[in-house]
Amino acid sequence: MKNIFLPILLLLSACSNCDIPYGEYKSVGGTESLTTLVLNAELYTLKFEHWKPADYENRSTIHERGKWSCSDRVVEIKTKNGTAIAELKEIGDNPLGLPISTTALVFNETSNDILSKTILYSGESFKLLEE
Amino acid sequence: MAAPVKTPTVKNITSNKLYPAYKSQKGIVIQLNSAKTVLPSGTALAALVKFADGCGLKKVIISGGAETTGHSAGSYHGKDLAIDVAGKRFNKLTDEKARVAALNAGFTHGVYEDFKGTSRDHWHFQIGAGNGLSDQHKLSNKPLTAKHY
Repeated sequence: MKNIFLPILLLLSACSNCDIPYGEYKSVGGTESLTTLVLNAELYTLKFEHWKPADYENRSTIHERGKWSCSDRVVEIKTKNGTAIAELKEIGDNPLGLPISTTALVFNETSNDILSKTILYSGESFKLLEE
Repeated sequence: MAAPVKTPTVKNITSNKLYPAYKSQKGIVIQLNSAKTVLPSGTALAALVKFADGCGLKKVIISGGAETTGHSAGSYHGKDLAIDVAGKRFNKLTDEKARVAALNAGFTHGVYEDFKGTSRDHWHFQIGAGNGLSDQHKLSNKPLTAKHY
């Protein structure tokens, strides 16, 4: 019996690995909104700022916090706006001038207005973009 | 009654689904900065293509289009009447070149949003006044209004 359970336990253990580094992820901008996601050990913090052109000072901000889950390179975040799912993947050839091996959180198309189809880049990528 | 706008044809040349790209009939590449950015249609697409063809670059990076989400309520993006052109870090344009190209293309109002030291700078161009842009932001005014943060 032991022989059956051990491989299953090992498999379950392997499946629950999370390959997504904690830290801050941001949209690249270039428009009148900015999305910032911070992933910590248990909680995420999502900040979505948007403004009228030339009126950043009076921007509206949505703040949310909650639990997130992760399996391998896929993260699932439940927000008031709906569930959002992203995969940490290499972005490949890109117009931003980042190395093709850069990894970013690429969100699936969902009903989550804020995160659907969004790409959030890590702090390391922003160092390259803004140096 | 105004004559209907002839919508130009652009060829989809996307090689990476994360970053859609199109080519105008003149061969200028309109590169979107993410799949969340929506290529405009109708009048705004006609103006975007004219802007791209007239700004002097071979490739223009567009960071905002006809998205119905991710902008303020009343945004001209959601009305399919505005574009954002990624800033000077990405598009080697001056405010004056961008202003003239946008005005000639049919945009009427605009501003350069300058977030010092970041990758967030961009030109916002729209067709018509409103949602924060008034007479002071007319593209017929020289120089283009820039907002520094």
